[in-house]
Amino acid sequence: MPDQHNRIHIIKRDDGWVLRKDGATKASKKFPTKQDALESAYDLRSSYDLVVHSPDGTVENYWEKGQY
Amino acid sequence: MPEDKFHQSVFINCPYDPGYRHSLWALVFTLRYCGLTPRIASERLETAEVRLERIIDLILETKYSIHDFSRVKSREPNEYFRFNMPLELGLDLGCKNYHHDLKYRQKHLLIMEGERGSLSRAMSDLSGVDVLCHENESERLVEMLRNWLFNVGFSDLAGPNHIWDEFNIFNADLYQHFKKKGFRTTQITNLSFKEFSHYLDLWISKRQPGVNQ
Repeated sequence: MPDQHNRIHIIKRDDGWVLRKDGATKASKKFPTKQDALESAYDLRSSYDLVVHSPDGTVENYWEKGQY
Repeated sequence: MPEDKFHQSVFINCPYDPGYRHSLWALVFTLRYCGLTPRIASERLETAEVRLERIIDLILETKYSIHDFSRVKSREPNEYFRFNMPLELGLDLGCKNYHHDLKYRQKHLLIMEGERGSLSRAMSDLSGVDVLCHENESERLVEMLRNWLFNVGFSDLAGPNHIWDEFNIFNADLYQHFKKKGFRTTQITNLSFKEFSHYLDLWISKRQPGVNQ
């Protein structure tokens, strides 16, 4: 199984998008657009891989830390 | 089949076109995460059985069923409508209402549509029957299925947002797992149901599904 403790996920939620870290009990913050969520995740690029999900839940983009 | 398996099994009657693939993944994930066993016709395609006999067996072996009529319009001129899904719903309703074994009266059927009101136009005999609309959104599909499971008696379930997040995390794990095996992204997107299910079983066995973390 992949290491589940070094990723941040951008996940569709209702009418917006949320950031969720692996192992967190719930999503940390909600954003109106995916772009807003991406910009917020950018600040964490040195510590986490970033997984951007499609609205259907599958993986749209996967960036390893430092690559985004 | 053992009685306990009957009470944990869910027959899925849904489209099998590529556009529905990830909705099917969401359905199957939610069922497995909630501790149930999804059953679909294509799971036994390698056998030489007549397809109809296979479907009847599945209906007899499952207490619950999901009939997702997301595709009720032809998308190209002269495209034939496929009547398999209405036939399977009819067989399931017939089993529930007319089978001599009274255990089938306990059957629960979830009927869904992708666009509000589309099913009543395509199958007006279902007027008055509860049809849930997921608006072709996987997140809604997970939520509606989870809430329906609660309503039919599965009370110890995680919340819909939790299950949806877990489905997304599962997809990230699946992506990494198959990337490491040398799969291209499109090959992961088009993964066979059998290979998807195999990985899901492995993933579920290493999680504690249904428990809020």
